[in-house]
Amino acid sequence: MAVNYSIKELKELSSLLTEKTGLAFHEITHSFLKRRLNQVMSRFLIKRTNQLLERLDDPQFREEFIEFFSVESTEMFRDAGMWRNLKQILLDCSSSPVNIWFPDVSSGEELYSLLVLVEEIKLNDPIKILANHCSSEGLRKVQSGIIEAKKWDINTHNYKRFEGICQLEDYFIKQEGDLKFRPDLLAKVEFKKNFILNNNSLIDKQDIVIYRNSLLIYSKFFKEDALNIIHNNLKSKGFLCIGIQEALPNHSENVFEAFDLKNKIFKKK
Amino acid sequence: MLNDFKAVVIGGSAGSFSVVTKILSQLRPDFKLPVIICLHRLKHIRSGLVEGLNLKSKLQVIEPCDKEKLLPGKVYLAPSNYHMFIEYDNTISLSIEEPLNHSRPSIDHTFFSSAYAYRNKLLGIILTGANKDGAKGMKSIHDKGGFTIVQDPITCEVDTMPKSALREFEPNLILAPEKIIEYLNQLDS
Repeated sequence: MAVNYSIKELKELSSLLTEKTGLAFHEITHSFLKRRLNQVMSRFLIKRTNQLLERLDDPQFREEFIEFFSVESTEMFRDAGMWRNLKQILLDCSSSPVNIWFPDVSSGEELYSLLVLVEEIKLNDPIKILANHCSSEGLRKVQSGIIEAKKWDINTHNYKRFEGICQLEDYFIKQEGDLKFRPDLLAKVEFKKNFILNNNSLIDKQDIVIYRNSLLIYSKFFKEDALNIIHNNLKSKGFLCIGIQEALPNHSENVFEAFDLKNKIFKKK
Repeated sequence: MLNDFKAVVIGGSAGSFSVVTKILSQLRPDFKLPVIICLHRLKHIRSGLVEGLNLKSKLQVIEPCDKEKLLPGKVYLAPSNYHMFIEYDNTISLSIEEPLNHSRPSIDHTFFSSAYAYRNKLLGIILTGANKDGAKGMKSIHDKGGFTIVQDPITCEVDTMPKSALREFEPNLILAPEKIIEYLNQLDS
């Protein structure tokens, strides 16, 4: 049975969740927060919000709860035109090494797509890829390389539209009925638990930041803070990729210029 | 009550493109409410639908970006491969969450969130379609005191969607497309 929260209740609860987890639950959009709360309470058979808050004192449950708020459903090579243009950006990039950062690698498919792309273009320069996510459980899932079989058709369709030069199955191995992304490619990635607002200064300035659709669940205020952090960690003329239905805040025009507006690739001024 | 609506939300699937085109082409040009539309569509054909609707529509039709504010007299079409939600602060949130009722965008998601945001100030319309997506969302609009119109199944290219809605609740009106247009145009917006 779904819980019907009032706006006031949601505001109060999201502030308490922020206190309990250290993450910005108070900046999550109400529609998403409400849906996920109902799902989590149904899954863990929790009837009242005070029971939920008590259970969040258990670190293991807290970790599962945080992971529940990740949006996992995407596709490899979603928006193939963006990946085609990113390929050209990489080919034209003169940095050595090329630094690429995923501030939130929530589902893996975006990272796997990049690794396929990098493998196919065979750059001479080394590439350093940093993948962050706010929960250890989420990172473990991405590192496992397992993708859902039901997404295979759409992934291969997207790969063809991306104009890949191999077969997508070349990048996977079959393991007990599942498809697992090649570990030798995943080994090129540094995985690190991190929430963007909590630890916001990277050692290396980045050439490319891929942060597509992760901000959809957050308020515009969170988005502004996150984009400021990304801006600070990008090299001059570095690239930012966001989701094709996302927009930069108005004041960002001063610090980013559109490189490919249709596919939402921006360049730091 | 007619003066009190804050938004119109419309959902449809198979056969609904022509009905929506007809509605938008015959709405008064001074129609003052935001019109939120969620249609089932092919996920990998990003362009074409909004352009097609704009050719006929008297009001500007856009596929909104995330966090875009709803404005009077504008039409907001759920973008391909994204769910579209309405927030209580009159903005739009998009999402790439899992499909609902095999659909992304899902009509139920748009209807549920609109009902929560606008309650009895919402006018919900469900059109022709080939699955049950939208039926429970229409019921939530009804349950929160919103006004509900179901396209008369006799006039539907595929009647699964309106019939699914009619199994969930009793709407305020069951109308043919021409009458839906008449109803919208007589609102003192």
